[in-house]
Amino acid sequence: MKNFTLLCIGIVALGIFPSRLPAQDFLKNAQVTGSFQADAALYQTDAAMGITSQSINGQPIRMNGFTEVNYEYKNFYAGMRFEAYLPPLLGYDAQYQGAGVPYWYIKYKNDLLEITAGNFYEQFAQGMTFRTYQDWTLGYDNSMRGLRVKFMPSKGITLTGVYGFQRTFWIPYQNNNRGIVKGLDGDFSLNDMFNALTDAKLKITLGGSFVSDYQAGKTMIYPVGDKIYTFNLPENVACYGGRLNLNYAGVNFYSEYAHKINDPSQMNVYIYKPGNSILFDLSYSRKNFGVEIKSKWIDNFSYKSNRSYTINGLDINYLPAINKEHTYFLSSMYPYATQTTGEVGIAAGVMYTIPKNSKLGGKNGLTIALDFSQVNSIKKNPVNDTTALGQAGTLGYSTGFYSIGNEVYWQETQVEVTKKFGKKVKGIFDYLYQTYNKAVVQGHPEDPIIYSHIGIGDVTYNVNKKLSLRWELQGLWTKQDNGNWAAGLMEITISPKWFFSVSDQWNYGNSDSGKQLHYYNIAAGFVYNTSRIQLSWGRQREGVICVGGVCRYVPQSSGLTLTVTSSF
Amino acid sequence: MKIFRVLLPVLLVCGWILTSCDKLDPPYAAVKTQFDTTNKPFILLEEYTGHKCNNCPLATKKAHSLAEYYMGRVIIMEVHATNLADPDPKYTLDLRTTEGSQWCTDFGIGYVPRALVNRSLFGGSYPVNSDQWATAIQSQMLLPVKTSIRAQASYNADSKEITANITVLFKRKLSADAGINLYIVEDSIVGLQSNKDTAAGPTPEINPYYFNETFRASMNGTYGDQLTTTVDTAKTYTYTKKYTISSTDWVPAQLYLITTITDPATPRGEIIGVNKIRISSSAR
Repeated sequence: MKNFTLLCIGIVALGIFPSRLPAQDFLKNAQVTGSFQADAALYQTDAAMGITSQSINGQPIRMNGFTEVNYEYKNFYAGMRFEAYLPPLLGYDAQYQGAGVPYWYIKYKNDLLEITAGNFYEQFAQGMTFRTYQDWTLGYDNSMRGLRVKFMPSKGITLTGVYGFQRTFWIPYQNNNRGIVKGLDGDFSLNDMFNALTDAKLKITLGGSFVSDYQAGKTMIYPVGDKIYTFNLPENVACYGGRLNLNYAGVNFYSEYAHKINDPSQMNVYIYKPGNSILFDLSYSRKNFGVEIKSKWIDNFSYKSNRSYTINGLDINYLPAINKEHTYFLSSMYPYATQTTGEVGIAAGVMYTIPKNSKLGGKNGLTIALDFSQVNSIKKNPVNDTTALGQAGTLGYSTGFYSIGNEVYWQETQVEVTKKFGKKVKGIFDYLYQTYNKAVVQGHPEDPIIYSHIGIGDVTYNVNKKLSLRWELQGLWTKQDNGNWAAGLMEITISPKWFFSVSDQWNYGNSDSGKQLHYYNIAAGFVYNTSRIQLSWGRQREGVICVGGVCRYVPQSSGLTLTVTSSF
Repeated sequence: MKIFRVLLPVLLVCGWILTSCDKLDPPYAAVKTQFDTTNKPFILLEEYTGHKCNNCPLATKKAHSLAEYYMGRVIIMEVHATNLADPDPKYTLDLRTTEGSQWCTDFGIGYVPRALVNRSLFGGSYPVNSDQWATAIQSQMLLPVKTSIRAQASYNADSKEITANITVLFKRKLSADAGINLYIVEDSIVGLQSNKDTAAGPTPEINPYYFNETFRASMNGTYGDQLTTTVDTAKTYTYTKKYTISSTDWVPAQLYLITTITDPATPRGEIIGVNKIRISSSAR
């Protein structure tokens, strides 16, 4: 709050120096933008689901909300975000409870320089060395508070420096409760830098970054077996990487490599092995056709600004996922999350649109997409004959470059057909086969690997310019976990203002007949310009939402939810 | 001059990189033998456990090895909670308590074995997994001693009443008031314990298993009483409480009293002082 007051004083101070900045002009010609969102819920008990007043902690009314305001005047920018979790919705960390301004900034920008003071989000390349971001759905925010300087000395060159500490809930920065993060990144577009390459068909971009996290404390106590050990700790943990992007006539190749020095932490159970991470992405696209192959190899690459953290938060870097993220009820039931301790993955996808008026394409054409992804463990060998694999206080393990382990963490094969039937009807039809190692991904060692077949049909019928109807019919068949599921949805949209939907997910294959529940939901929404109000009532099934390596557990719930969003 | 313009930033960046990279050489760890207790605070390790939890005996053993290493500066209290503490025809003991179940919910314990260390945040969370207890305790050991507690407790067999007299001296000022909690714990309760680690005892069960430091009840409610509205380091504060034992299962000779002083200004009433004494039998 103190910092926010300083921000306000700064803005006012800028406005009262008429010789440099006319106050009237500062207000009149400025641009103010912003957004607002509130998600409120009235939870109810549900005997069939086993939800009691105790499971909602006696607090049936909950709300997550934020308002963000951004101000812009010539080269000057300022902004803030107010957040309130009173108390947080179920499934969000209880430590969010409270209200305040966790995010504010002032920024000055011209062609040569950009300086930001306060909070900021930044990403070096794909984020393998550094990424701060906010994801409302995940309840995740690791924004930096400090300084950022971007320097563009000449065309094609961008140098970025960051210095600060990260946000974690409402916990103030004190007593060495997190590290100080410093980073430097250089991005070089050779075609922009050199006149001789300006018109070249081959586009080349290079980059490199160096990040360091400082956490005070050179030793720590740690028990191994019956003995108590003193571990030596690195106060400065560095991570650095380089990347290359080549683009030529529709073909794009991207690769990024990052290395991290010894970083014993709770995430790797205090081993000292350096970490490595590499990513490849090769793609080609032209009209009606696209193909992409991706691969990644991750070896001990969790990087947090507090070595004791195992919960979501204080991640300095981000390890991108290569598998597809799904939005349908049942294909998103078992989401994969990047395993920072080690994984190797490959993903390939091909998309082809069969032209209109051909034998297979019919009058409107037909799009077929095939996707495959698999993620395995990496091979880990003991460092010597007397040290157990992964033993704390040692290197932990050894591994070869791009080693592939035998354990499958994830596999997915997907076929998707998109077809227009005349001018009014469009259909999307999916078949997926997923292999999901729940024991590893969700940390439930007792759970078996889940093999599931999933079928989805999604048909939209545009009755006229205003009215459209959409149906989804889905099925998931598995012998493991909770067994088979069926799901359906019907949605009516009356453009531009109204929409209504009814849906149900039915766990008809649960081996426990008492758990063969329907998770029904009724929703209605109203849109007015940039504002949207949605009210829904029904049941939420238990699940997990994952983006990259960050997941949020969503507990089962029942009740009424209200979502209001607006932007200006 | 031009060369300086280029060279200076390059040198600065190189200097920063070199000083931002602590590469360590093995051995990374050394066996620790002696702990110096001078000016070190007492800490409460509140372990949540259950007799059907097969990971719990090893965690409890770890807690004891830490308490031993810290030469009594770590006080253990075992709170039996979650469904793994529920009794059934095989595991007949019922060591659950109303207070324990409430704390379990309030602190989001979720599963066992986990612990609260001085009811403070560690790594962004209140519940701490057993492999993090050592680091959580170490971080608390770095904090200054904030209180000095003298306690006296006696049990009257006729009235079945425990009387506790507590005297507290604050070594640091608090921003507001201070709270006090009196917990009764019992040693050597004999029962059956599930176990999967041979390092902790026979598998799949340890029989007989001695449940020590078992939380039985709070003498002054789930979250205690207010000790004082303001804290003055020049004063001593006294607190007296009586508690009548209603259960016939408790063995008075095996009872102890744990006193904690809390700072209610912190989000969850962080513990700033702990003391443990045996409850003596008063003359009839």
